[in-house]
Amino acid sequence: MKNLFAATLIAVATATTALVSAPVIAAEKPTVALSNAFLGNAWRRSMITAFEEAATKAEADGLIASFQVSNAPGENSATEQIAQLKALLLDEPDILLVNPASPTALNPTLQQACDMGIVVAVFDSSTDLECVHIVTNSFGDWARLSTQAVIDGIGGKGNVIIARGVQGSPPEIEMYGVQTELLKANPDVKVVGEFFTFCDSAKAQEALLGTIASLPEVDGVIGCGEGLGAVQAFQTAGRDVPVVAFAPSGRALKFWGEGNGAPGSVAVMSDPGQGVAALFTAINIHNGQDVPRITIFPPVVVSDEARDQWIAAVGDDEIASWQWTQELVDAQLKANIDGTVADAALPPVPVR
Amino acid sequence: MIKVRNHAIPPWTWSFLAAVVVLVLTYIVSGRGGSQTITLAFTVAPYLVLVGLGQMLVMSAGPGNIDVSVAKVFSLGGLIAIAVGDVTGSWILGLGAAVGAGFAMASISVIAILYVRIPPIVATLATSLIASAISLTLAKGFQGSPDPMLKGFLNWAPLGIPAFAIMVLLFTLLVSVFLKRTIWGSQMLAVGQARRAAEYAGVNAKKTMVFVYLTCGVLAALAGALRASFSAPNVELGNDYLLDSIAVVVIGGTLMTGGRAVPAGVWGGALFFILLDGLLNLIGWSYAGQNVLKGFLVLAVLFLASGAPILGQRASPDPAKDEDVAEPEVKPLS
Amino acid sequence: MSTATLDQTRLSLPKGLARRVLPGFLTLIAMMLILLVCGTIQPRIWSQNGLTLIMSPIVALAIASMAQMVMMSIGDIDLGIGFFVGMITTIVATLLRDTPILGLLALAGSVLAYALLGALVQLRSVPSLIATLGASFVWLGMGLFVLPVPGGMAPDWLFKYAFWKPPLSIPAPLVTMVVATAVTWFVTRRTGLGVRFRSLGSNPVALVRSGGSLVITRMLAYAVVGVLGVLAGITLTAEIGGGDVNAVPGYTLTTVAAVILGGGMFTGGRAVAWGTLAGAITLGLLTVLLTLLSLSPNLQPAVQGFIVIAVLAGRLVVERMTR
Repeated sequence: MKNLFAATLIAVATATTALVSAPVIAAEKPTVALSNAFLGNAWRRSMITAFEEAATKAEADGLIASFQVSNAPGENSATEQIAQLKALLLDEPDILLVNPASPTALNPTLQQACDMGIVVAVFDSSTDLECVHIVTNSFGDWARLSTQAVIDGIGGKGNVIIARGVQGSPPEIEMYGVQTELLKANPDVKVVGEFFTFCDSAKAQEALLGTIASLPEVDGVIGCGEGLGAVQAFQTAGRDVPVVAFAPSGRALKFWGEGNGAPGSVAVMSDPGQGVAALFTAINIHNGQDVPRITIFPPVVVSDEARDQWIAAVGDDEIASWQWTQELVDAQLKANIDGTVADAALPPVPVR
Repeated sequence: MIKVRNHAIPPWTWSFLAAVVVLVLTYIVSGRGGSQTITLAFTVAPYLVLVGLGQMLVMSAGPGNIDVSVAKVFSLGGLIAIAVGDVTGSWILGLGAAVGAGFAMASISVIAILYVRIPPIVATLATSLIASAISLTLAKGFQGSPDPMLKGFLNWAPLGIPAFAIMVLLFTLLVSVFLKRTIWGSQMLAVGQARRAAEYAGVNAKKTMVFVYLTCGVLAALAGALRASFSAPNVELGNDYLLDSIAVVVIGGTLMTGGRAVPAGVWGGALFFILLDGLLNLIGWSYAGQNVLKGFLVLAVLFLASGAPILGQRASPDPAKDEDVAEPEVKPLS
Repeated sequence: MSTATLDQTRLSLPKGLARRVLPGFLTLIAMMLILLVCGTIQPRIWSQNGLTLIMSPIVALAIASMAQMVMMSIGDIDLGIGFFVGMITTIVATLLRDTPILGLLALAGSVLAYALLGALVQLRSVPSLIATLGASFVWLGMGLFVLPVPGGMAPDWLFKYAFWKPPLSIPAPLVTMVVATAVTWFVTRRTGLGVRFRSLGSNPVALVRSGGSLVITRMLAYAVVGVLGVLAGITLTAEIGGGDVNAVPGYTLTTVAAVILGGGMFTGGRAVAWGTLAGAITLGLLTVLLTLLSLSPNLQPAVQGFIVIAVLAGRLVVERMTR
């Protein structure tokens, strides 16, 4: 009985694969579907905006046949995204780009997509699933850049708070590992507090207001983009403002530009343009190019000097993103294959 | 209404007691803090108190009444206030626009509850979805920053006493007087205790419902507008305020079954929650441990603060159940 | 025309039955409509594979809604079911896979915890809403202890279930949902236990006079909720292939909406298993519908809200007409 079912399953799977892969062999322009888990925060909105711009252009340029963006309802719910993905699978797109709600929960569904012969690329996350390509930022680099900046900003010694990201998410764990490693290398920097702020400015503000009075002098806040709320909390409490890591949103950059945040602060975040990078990467895979399973793209870093240039290009409630083009992605992919990611040229600061 | 109470201890005692215990623990753990811990708690608490007061009015209007849209209306109020304030250059107009938005959102709930006769939890859930759609649309290409003057006021704490907290305290007092001393207030609680009986006594229950939901919506939007002015507007700004507002109201001693509103308890509950979060962060417990402890503490406060005596039989079934008996729609038991 | 015939059939039914069945029936029609619209946009739905695809994410929601239905039939509301189901997935994906006996004990312990929660609610007259809300923090914390990061692996037998294709091209998710609903229906409407649950919701005084214990009845009801929550967690593990305590916090409110759509009431006394199933499928299919319509993403929540209001408003209109 069981074998019979398995046989039917395989038969069905191969049938659908054959059906779908026929046009692939003919190297027709692919149809693209983007599945996004939710739209509730500025990062995801910036990601979608960047993607829609780039995909519209790619469609006009004849790189893709059509594209569809789908945001699951609810608050970053894995089950809603599974339902959404399954509805998308019925459309049998050639390329499926996924910004997942959970690093593992979508695996059975994504496996089904792979079985149907769809090119699946997951971005802004990771997954163990072998058949899926991963396009992501190096969260380790993000943590290294922002932590090192804060440590340098406080002159290599003093008290710091660690504001941690989304509890239980793989990026957070990777970043925390890098942070603790860097702190070990700087024994003069003392950690006086450690909270989960979910990289969210308002949450960081509340967490800090609740504890600040019980903390000694704080020179720096090591975190992942909650600088705005952290600085505001210190201002409310009438304390000296620490060195922080801002999010590269228009609002935070302006706030920073107005002289808030101790000198040496920085703005770093993973790039909302990853969706675009994933699009061009997946097009290359679809066209038969050999691409490593995991490709790393650089996070967005805004330094003191480039800040004003970025402010002009980013809306208040938007996160700065790299504007990837096919050439830039190709260069980045080559750097990934050659192992020279660290030296690869960054895209130019966008101009609006 | 309030006199029916059979204890000598006022119902808000437990929440304040819990807050004080947490405060003392905070001092013991950190060995520092002084009065600033309290000052900062009072800086953050008013927003939650405003939402909580609205939620309290809704909950005390009878069993099943709850507003689950406060979180999204809160965020919407914040976005609208900042956007309008930025365009017009006046934070007063901004706050006015937020109040208007809260009123409009609550009107949807009211129409759905009274005229489409949808149960409040589902009606306000639908409102919450609509508010969230508007917020998302607004957030796209959003421009604007909080007014510096209003922000300055919200941060202003002469002699360590936050001025805004004093305003909200006065407002709480006003609500308290309204509930205890005015006919409207007593009618509202009468509806909460036994809607049918109140209606026979000539109280317009519909009017009460309209009043409590509109007030709740307006307060949530206003709190959101102020909270956004305090830091920055954000689609997710209100997310934590739904569960927290319900929790602080009940911990404060308001009966979920309606008919007893305890405005002072909302302050106690809010301070307890805020201080507890601070303490848990301070101890550096894992997030998992924090949640387990928070859950058990809420259950423990409930265990102590609930109406029934700790030992002995439950005197009579809930008022809620009494009302069910009065409801003609209850089918015979098969 | 059709409404006229509907009128007659309704009038010939006893009023109580009509009131109980009608809402769920209308939701069933809404569900069919949504399915038809989805099927028109995307005809590939009309196959065993297609139906399995769109139905399988709904199974856990349907069973969790059954749990909420039992809760609401005794006049309580569960605001912790979302994290409870999430916590169960973490247990299933770790303990139950590696050390089945320990896993089973943990699952039994979860059910026991629910029963104790029921005792707290009854003995201390604590409102269920806030007690379950408090408990939800505990479930979240426990889930994080078991599995701090989403992961783990569903037991093999669950994977086999996930790939199960019943004969006669019946979609497997439908089988699971119908069986779960039938069992819940039987327990709540055809057993003495179900009668006691419902009288606890509608008329606790009568329950005491007839010799029933309020505490034991409430504990049993909560235990049934716990068992259904565990089942929902197991089916969810099959769907997500592992454990994740944060997988479904949204279930808390969605399940309440499903019960209301199915004809349940907050005041207790009503057990509407089949209606709840229709409600859960309707809400689950909304995601599919919204995806297929490819609406502006910002408007999606509003459309969801309006559809819920519309279904309930439609019920009001029909109720008025049948009076």
